[in-house]
Amino acid sequence: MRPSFICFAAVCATVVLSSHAMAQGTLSSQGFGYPPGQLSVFSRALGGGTAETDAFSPINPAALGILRRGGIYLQTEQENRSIEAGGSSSSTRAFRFPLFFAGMPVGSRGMLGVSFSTVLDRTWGTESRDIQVIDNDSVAFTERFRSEGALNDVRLAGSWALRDNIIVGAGVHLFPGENRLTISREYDDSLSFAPLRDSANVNYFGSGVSGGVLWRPIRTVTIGASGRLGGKLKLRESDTLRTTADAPSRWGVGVRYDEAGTTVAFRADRTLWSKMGGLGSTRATPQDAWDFGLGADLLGPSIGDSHLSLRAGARRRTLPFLADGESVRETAFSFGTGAPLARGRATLDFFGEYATRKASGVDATEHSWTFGFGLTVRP
Amino acid sequence: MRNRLWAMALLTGLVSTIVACREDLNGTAGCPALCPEQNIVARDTMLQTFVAVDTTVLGYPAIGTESGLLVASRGDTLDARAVMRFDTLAQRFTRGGVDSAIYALDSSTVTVTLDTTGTKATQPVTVEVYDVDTAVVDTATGAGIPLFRPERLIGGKTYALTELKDTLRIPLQNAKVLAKLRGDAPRRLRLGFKVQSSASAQIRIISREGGGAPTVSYDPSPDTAVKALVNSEASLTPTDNPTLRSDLTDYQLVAASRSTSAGNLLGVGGLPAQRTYLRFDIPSRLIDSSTVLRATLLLTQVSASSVDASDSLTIYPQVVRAAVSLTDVGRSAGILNPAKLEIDSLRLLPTQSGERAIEMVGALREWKVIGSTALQRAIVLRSSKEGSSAGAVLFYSSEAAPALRPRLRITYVNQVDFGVP
Repeated sequence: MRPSFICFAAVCATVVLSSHAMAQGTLSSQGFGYPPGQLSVFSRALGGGTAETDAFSPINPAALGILRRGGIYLQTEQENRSIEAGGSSSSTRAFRFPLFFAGMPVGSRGMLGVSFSTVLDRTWGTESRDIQVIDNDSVAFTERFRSEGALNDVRLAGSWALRDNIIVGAGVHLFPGENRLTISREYDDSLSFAPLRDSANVNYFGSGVSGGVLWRPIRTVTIGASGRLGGKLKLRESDTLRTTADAPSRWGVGVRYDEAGTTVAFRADRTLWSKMGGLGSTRATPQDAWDFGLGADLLGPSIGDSHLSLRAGARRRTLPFLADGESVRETAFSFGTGAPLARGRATLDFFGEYATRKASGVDATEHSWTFGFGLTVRP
Repeated sequence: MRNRLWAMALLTGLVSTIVACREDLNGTAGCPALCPEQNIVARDTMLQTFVAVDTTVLGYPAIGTESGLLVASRGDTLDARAVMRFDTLAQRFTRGGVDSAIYALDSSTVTVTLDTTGTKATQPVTVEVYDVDTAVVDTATGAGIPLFRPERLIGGKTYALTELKDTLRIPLQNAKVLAKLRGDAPRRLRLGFKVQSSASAQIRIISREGGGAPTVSYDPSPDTAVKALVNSEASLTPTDNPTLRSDLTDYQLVAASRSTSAGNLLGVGGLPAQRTYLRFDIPSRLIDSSTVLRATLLLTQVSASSVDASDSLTIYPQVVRAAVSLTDVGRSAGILNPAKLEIDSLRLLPTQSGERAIEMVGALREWKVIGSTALQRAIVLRSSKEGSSAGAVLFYSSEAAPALRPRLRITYVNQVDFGVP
């Protein structure tokens, strides 16, 4: 009873915290946006270390084979960012549904799955005060700039177990997306100066293919490796084709150790964001980025017929877009847990993550707290 | 049991998070270094030939709709009179429960309220009241002014400067008023007001449209138990036009004025009142395809030597609401949005000269929304004391030398390119 009560209190505390804390996002949301990572709550709690071997994370299509039976999965996140820059600070709060997955078995060795995940989240807003000189008159104004939407990844994938310890998978990716941007400039002297209001709608559409393998050389060790090859990615603004580039390719490898209820996993991932070069202006030139994750899932105290999972992880990566000409590096520490519901037919997972983002040479530091829930239903 | 509690906690957390979720995206720190996409370039342009029509329009306010009635004797520069109609007069009274026709009168008085900001006098002022009733149309200056002659004088009083306060009670001649009540129909009083002084003088009476309530009162009986009868303004003619009939309850007459015409200039104010009508022909790319941040109409003021030229004048630039199809400029100049809705007022001194700026971005915003095919893109400049103040401001028109013509300075943003980072 006591551990449950403590956990319940902790969850409630995080909810209250998430309701009042606010964060800011312009260090991480440069260019076409911030990459949440396409990770499930389980992998997110382990710092992304299990991404190559996680069926719900749309990274390695071969990992679908681990599911063995069908199900659906829905994930929700709330990120609270704060930024300190140039002696001032501010905060924002964003809410997103970064991942949805549905899968079904095909025969005794195959699985099919479709997933919808966020690749680049371009949701942020800024509010600034400034002075503009018009006809020798200085007039103060408040400018609000807001962007909502994302570049997404819709993946249709399948896996096939060649042997008991080798599963291969392949996937077809579509990259639809939309950004809705609005800008307003309200002058203090509203009698002499009209407000400026404008909006823009940017649409994306691209494609890609992916493949992966899952190999278990010994009973306790699983190795996953996967890659994705990005096809054409087109950007349209108001139905006009503005630019064309390639969707980002990636490759990665991960290793997972499972022994007596304990899981330890590590992953290295390389995303070739530079293939998106030319989609935006030179101010939004992407760079290839490494993503390293390490995490552990430990068997906690026994609760009824089930066991409590205690998860923790660390993650270090580079974000794809430069801030003021400098690379942005993110270091994150995460924790989480999960519990079965409905006699094992459903699972509810939770993670919390604290991240720090910095860019050398830029007088700005960004902190974020992200909380997420994942609900799995497997009839 | 513990497992259920654990699951319930997670489920509660999930639901609470979703319910408590409220996005707050506006951050204030980090700009402009971390906000490189907000590059808004404002451009300036000065339009020299944007005027489709600019002219001075007379006839406003319509007779009888003045908010104040100027009664002035300003030497050879201004002679203004006012007329009030009391077409329904009490002709019977009751004493001791007995109704009786009036057969004697005492204490006949006309009471008016003054707008003391319009009072100008240095010597005692005599307010003369004339019987201006006539069978012919009396609203025309040519017909009304000749009625102000000595044999028609029906009342009056000389006031010291200190007596020219909010309310003036001007005694009337009882016998003449009684004759009106007992004479042939129509039994009515139509009173004309005129001032006399050894120096220049004027008063401004608040009209019914301005909120005033002039009255004519008289005592029908020496019995103190019988109260004075009080008659309010009323007009019964013309019978075929109720609006005009109501307007003509009181109205202004201008016997003489030096500032009757602006000529080639654009005039605002004066008596009779003038309005300036300006119709714009602004390139569509500026109004419809751009975002105008600021629009400044630059007019060059000409020093005027009109009456009250040293008194500042408040000018209302008002957007015209007339349809494009209405080609009559005079009528168009009377169909206006309320003052200070889109464009702020400005105060000018008639004696001064030089460039004057009218910020009219509000008008351009409205024109962009409405489009160019429905309403005229025009404004009118009018005096806040239109019809009740003699001061006038003059501007050069589009017929003047290029440097003196009206100009329009526009600051605009073509298109904010911010969708693609």
